[in-house]
Amino acid sequence: MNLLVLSSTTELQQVLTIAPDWRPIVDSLLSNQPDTKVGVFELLDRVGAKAIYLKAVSLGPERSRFITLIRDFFYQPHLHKMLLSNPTLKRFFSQRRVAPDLQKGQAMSYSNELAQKMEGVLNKHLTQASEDGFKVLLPAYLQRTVQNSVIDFIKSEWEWERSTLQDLNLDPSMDDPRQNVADDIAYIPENKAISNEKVQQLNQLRAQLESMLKTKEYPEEPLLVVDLMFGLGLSENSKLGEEMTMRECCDKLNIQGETQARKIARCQVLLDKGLDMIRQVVRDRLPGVAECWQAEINVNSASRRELTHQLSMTEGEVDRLIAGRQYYCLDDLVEKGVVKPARIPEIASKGAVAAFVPVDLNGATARDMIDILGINKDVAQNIVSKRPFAKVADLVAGKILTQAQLDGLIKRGAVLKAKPNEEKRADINRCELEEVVQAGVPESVGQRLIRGRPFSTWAELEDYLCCEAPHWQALRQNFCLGVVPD
Amino acid sequence: MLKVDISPEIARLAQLKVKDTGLPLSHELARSVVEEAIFTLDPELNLLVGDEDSVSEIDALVQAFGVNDVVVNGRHIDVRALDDQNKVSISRALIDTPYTANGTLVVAMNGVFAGSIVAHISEAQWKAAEAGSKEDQIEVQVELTANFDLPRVLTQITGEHRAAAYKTVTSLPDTAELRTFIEEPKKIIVARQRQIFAALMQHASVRSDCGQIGDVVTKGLVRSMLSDSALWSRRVEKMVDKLSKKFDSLSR
Repeated sequence: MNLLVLSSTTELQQVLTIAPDWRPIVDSLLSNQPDTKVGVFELLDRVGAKAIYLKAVSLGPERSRFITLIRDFFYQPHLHKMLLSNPTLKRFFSQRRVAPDLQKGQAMSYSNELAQKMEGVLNKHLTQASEDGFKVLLPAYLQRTVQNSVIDFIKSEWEWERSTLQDLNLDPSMDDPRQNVADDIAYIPENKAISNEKVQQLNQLRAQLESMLKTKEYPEEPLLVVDLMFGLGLSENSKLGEEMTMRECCDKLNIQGETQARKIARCQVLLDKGLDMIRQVVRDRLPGVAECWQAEINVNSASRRELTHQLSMTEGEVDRLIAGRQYYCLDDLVEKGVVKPARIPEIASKGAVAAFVPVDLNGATARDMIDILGINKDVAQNIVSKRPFAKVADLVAGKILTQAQLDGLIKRGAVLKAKPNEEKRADINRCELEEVVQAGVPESVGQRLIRGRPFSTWAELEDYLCCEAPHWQALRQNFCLGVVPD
Repeated sequence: MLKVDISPEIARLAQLKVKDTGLPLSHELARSVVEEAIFTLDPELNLLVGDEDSVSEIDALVQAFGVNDVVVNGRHIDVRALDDQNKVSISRALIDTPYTANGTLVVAMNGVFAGSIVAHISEAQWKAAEAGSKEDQIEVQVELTANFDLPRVLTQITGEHRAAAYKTVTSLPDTAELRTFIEEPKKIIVARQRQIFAALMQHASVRSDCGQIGDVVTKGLVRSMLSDSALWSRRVEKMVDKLSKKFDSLSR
């Protein structure tokens, strides 16, 4: 096939030999644009789809040559131009960072293929002598053809990448590192970077601690313990960035005690006292830092230590709070007689919140079950030794709990999370459609998923699919998300 | 009302693009809906999409002003996605420029894979809304048309001669001014911002200069760096957890 866009006079002469009545049109084009070369493309563009089609219908043996000229000098340049200006293809090229020269080359070879297809379509219409056959010569018709072909092209490119680039993947036996990324707050990328403002606040805090150590207003020993244990480098025994254990701390500060255990217990008391003092100073003198860094303490899951030291609750309040768990809001603490109404603003200002927490009987520690659900210690240990359970009813069937006890626990937040079998999880970026359907996801959703692959995060897939909650749950439970090279 | 389905490939490309620009996905999808709708119209209407570069191909303009246009037979038509209160909004700097000369097509998205073109907001409607507001973003309450006639609206737009209504900008912005225009638009008065927009629409050279301006470190690059570093940390920490059982001095 001749790939030249500008036709030579020979081709123009051939067209004029086939359609001599078009010569005045060529003359008119030449007189209007004396400086530009007039070729077959310019002539056919001016003549229009209907006239070209009618001419082709009227031709005898010359029709075949005429259609070849249309293919090479009308369809091909039109399709080439349309491919280069197609918005979908532009987005694809831009996303793949395809160089402009390569874009032109790919569009050229693809336009040749499409021109041959269009030649077939035109021939079919001419054979059937269909009345609206001229439409296949209209630029807007070609535009639609180009769009459909572009989508097929992108689909096949992605399919090729999926099947060819599989070997580039990292060790498949290794745990998928992204699997838990979204669930684990420590690994959310945004949490890895801190702002300038936060850096300044940390420096302010350090300066404050330094000044506390220098004045005699505060007892020195608790502050020294904090300095050593957090490696702040503020006193002579402490080195910046080197966190000491309690044992090392006892040796360095020569903490007195009859046994090692007593020394460590004394060190623990000093640490708590030091942290309490620092907390109080930060709240009083650096309210901005306190507001920014103060962690929220959930009264439903906080330990006794957190409740006592961070929220400054009394022993009696803590006992009542733990016995009455769980709470839907802080005002519940007043309703259940845990604290007096006047105490609520005070503990709220220290970071107290009430958020209902589910406690997974298959995964929670015995301590959590005792503290949050109020389970008896022996029962909690019995649950830990006999789990995992497939369903809550197994706890009653196994005579670990009575039905009434189980109902009470469920009311307080006990749940049973089925343990997924990690080994059986298929990679959602590589699995087959059948596997997705078997997991309980409708075929239409599965097809969309497969056509949109690969995905780099679950959030990206969720935004893309927008499927119903049960289908999304089925995907999360049965599949993992493999790493895909960018 | 013409309901248009979008293929998964188009939806996915739109999603990958907004990862870089940080704009709402619905806007990018709305443009695809309009393009798809035009492709399905009768070819005899001779409506051709993308025969000239759209300004929404310049990422810096998309991020700074939220431009979102399709080009039909050489006419730039703005496209907006309808929000849940049946409102659309646009940057004040875009009003009374050749960018909004052909009005706005409003698309109601139905999830990610389908949408309908429900209304057309004329340039006059935008100007009227602008006159009654002092905000940077001008809002218009959209009156939904039961049988919105897209072919009629597009034929009308492409058949009009509006370009002459805007004077040719003589003082073209240089690279420094374009950089300020994109990075700190508030430093330039709205009247000059409009002139710059007019220059962008009228001169390919200004569009090309504008395309060169942009962050060396894009949002997409930062996201990918953070994501890679998080992955690396995760792997190192898992490795440390495995090895720390055998080597006492190794810990997090």
